[in-house]
Amino acid sequence: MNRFTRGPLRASRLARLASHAAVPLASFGLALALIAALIALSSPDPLSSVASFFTRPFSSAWYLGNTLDMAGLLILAGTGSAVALRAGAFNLGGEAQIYAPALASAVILAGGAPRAAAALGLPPIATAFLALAAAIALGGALGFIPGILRARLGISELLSSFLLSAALIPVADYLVSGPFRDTAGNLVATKPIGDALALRSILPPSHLNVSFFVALAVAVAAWFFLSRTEPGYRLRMTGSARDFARFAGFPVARAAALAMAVSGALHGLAGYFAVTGTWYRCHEGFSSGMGWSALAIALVARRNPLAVIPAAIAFSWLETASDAATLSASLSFDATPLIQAIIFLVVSARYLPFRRKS
Amino acid sequence: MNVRKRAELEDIHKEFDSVEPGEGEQRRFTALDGVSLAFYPGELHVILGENGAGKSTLAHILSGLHRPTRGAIRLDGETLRFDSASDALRNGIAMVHQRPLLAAEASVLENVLLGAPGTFLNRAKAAKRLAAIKTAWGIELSDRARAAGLSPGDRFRTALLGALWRDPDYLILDEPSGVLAPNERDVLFAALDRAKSRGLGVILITHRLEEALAHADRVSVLRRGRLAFTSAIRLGLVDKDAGGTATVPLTYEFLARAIDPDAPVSAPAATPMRMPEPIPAPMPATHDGTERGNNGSAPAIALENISFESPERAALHSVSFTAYPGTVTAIAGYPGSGLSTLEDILSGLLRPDSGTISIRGKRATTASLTPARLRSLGLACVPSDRAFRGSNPDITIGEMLTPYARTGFFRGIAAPSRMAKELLAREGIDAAPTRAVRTLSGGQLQRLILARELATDPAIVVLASPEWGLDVKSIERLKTRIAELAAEGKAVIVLTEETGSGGISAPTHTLRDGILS
Repeated sequence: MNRFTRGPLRASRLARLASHAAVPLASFGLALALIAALIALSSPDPLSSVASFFTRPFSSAWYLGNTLDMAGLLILAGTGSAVALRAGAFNLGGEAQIYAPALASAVILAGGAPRAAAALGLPPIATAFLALAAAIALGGALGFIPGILRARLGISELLSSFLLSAALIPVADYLVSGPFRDTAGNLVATKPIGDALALRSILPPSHLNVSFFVALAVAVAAWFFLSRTEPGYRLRMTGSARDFARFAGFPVARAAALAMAVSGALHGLAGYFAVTGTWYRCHEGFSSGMGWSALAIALVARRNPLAVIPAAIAFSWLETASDAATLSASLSFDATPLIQAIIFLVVSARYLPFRRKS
Repeated sequence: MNVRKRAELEDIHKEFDSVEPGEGEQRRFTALDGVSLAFYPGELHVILGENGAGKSTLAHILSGLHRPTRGAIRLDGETLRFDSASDALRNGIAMVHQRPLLAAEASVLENVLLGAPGTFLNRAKAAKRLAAIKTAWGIELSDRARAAGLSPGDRFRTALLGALWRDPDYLILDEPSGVLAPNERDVLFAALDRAKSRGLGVILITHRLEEALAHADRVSVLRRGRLAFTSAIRLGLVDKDAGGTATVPLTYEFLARAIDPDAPVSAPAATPMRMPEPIPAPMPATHDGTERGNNGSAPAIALENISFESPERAALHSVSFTAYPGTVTAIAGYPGSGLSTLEDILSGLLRPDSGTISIRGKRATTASLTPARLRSLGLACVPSDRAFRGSNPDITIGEMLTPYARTGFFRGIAAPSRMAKELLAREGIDAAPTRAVRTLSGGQLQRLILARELATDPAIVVLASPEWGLDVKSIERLKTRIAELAAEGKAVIVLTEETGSGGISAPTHTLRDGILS
C-alpha cells in the first residue's frame, strides 16, 4: 500500500489508538490518585509530600537518569513477559530469571575472568561478551525449562516457572551472602566489577547508560518480529488461536517453549545490564519485585512490546516518585511495595472476569 | 410455580460496532432492524432465517446476552431490562445453545447446578430432582460424567438440563438438531410436546424448514434483520392474535421463499418450489478399495485398516476406503460413530494406532501423520469446527486466510493482505481483511475456509460436517461447489452426520460404531 492512500485513515487510526489506550491510561490515573491519597493521609505534611511525589522525579539529573535507567531494565523484562504472553504462556519466573543471570555476570566480571583474559591478551570486551552470553543463556534456560515441560509433559508453565524461580532465589541469596560475598565491605553483595567493564553513565551523576537505548531497540525489534515476520505470526496464532494454529500445522508446543526461552533470555539481559550499568555488583535480592513489575507492565501494555516502553517509563517514574515522597516527607511506611500492590490491583481488575459481550 | 406469561419483543433494533484490534475502518452492522414478536406459553414458536438473518441475535437479546440498541422486552406487559443471562433466567427465560460452554472439569450435575440460586448444596436432593427432570425429558445421562468427555449431543443435553433446572417459562433452543441424531431429535420433540402441554413456551431457532412444518405452532421468518413473516397458524390451528380467523396454511415452498433474502417480500406461496434434492455425485464413487476409478485413474487417497482406540474418543476399527480423482465420497455416521475421530485423523491432528494412508501413491506411516505433512501431500480439510479450528473468532479475517502464505521470514503486511483480499474477492465477500473473524456468518466463514484450503491446490478435499449451521441457500451453493471440485478432478470426501439422502451428498459409505461399510 503506498503512503498516500493511508492519509484518510489517519483520523480513525488515532481514534482507535485512543480507544486502546483509554483503559491503561485510566488505570494509571486511578493508581496515581490512590497513591497520592495514601501519601497525603499518612504524611505529617500532606501538601509537600504530594508535591514532591509529582515533581521530584524531574528535579535533578540524578532522579531523571535513574528513572530512565530503571525503565530500561523494566522495558527489557517487560518485553520478555509480553513475548511469552503473546504465545499464550505466562512466565511467572521473572524474578530468578533476572537475579540468577545478574549473579552469574557479576561473578564472571568481578572474578578471575578479566585477569585470565588479560593474561591471554584478550581485551576486556571479551569478558563482557562472555558475561553477556552467560546471562542470556542462563535466563533463556530458566525460561525454556518450564516451556519444554509444558510442551512435552503438559505441566502448567504458570506453576513450574514460579516454583523454579522460588527455589532458585534462596540459592542465589546464599551464593551472594556466602561464597561470592565481597568481604571487603559491609554490603551483602558480590565484589564490584572493574571500571573497564562498567557501562559509563551518559547523564552523571545518575546511572543512565547505553542499556536504555538497547532496551528501546529490543522492544521495537520484538514488535517487528511479532507483527511483521512469519515466525511472529505463528507465535501470535499459537497464543490467541491455539486450535487453529495446530490445524494449520504450526509447531504449537515448540513455539510456546521457545517464546518462554526468549522471555527468560530478555529477563537475563535485564539482569546483565543491572549489574554492568546500574549497580556494578550483584546485591542480595536486588531483583525483588522487578519480575512482577515486568509482568504487570506487559499486561498494562496489552502484550504489545511498543506499548511496553511508555508503560515501563510510567512504572519507573511511579517508583522513583514514591521513593522521593518517602524520603522527603518521612513517611511512616515503606511506600514502594504498597504502590506496586496498588498498581497490580488496578491493572488486574481488567483481567478479572467482568468482561461482558457487547 | 408462577403464572405463565406472555413475552413480547417490541421494535427491537440491534447494531454492532466492528472496531477491531489492529487496523481497518469502523463500521456498524445492523443485525436487527425493528422486529416485533410475541411468544405465548404452551406454544412452540419456530424462528427461521438464513445465516446472518438475525435469528441468533434475537435469541441472545431475549435471553439477556445482548442488550438491544433500541426496543423493549415485555413480560405480561411489564417492560424489563436484561443485563445478563442471569437476569433473563430470573424472569423465566432460559436459552440452550447448540454447543454450550460447560465447565470441563465439573460433572454433569455440577454443570446443571452452576449459577442456580441457593446457598447450600444438597447433592442427594439435587440428584433426585434432576432424575425426575431426566425422566420427564427422556434424557439418559450420568450425573457424574465429566463434562470434558461428553459428546456434542450430551453437552447439549447437559445445558438443557441446566435450563430446565431453573423451571423456565420460556425455553430457547438454538439449532438443537445440529448435534442430535435423528432418533434423538424425535425424543426431544416428543418431550417438548409434553412440556408444551404443561404450559412451557418453546422458542426454536432453526434453518430446518421441515422441523418448522412438523412441530411449530407458530412460525416467524427473519430476513436481513427484519421480520419477513410471522404466522398465524399451522395446519388448522387458529391464530390467537387474528381473533380466530384462519390464514394461509404453511407449506415448504412458502417458507423456502420467505427466508430467501433475494425473493420479493410478502408473496405468499406464489410460485411453488420443489424440495431441494441432493445433487448426485458427478461420477459414482467407488466402494471397494481394490477397484480402479472408472476412468482408470490411480486412487487419490487410500486408507488401509486405520484403527484407533482411546477412552476419550469414539473408536475406529480397521477403516479402509479409497477415493479417486473426480469423485465425491460421502461417509455418513451419527454422532458417536467415530466420524469425528476419522476427521481428526484425516486432518493430521490424531495419529491412528495402526494402518496406513496413501496419498497419490505415497504411503504415509501413522507416525509421520501431521497436519503439515498431510497438507504437503495434497490433502486439504475444512474442519467441522469452523469457528475454532478452521479459524478463530478473535483473529482477523486476514490472519485467518493466510496461514499457508509462504512469504519467507519477513511476512510484512502487504503480501498477506493482498492474498486475503484476493480470496475475499473470489468469494464475493465484502469485508476488510482487518475485520475480526467473529463478524462473519457461518456460511461466509465456511466458504472462506474452503477457498483458503483450495488455494494450496490440493488433490483431495475433505469437508467435515459441511451442513452444520448452513441454511438452505448456502447448502445449495455448497452442493454446486462440490460438484465443480469433482469436475476439476479433485477427490472430494464429505464426512456427514446426515445419513439420509437429505444431506449435502448421498452417502457412499456408512460409519457405525467405528466400522465402515
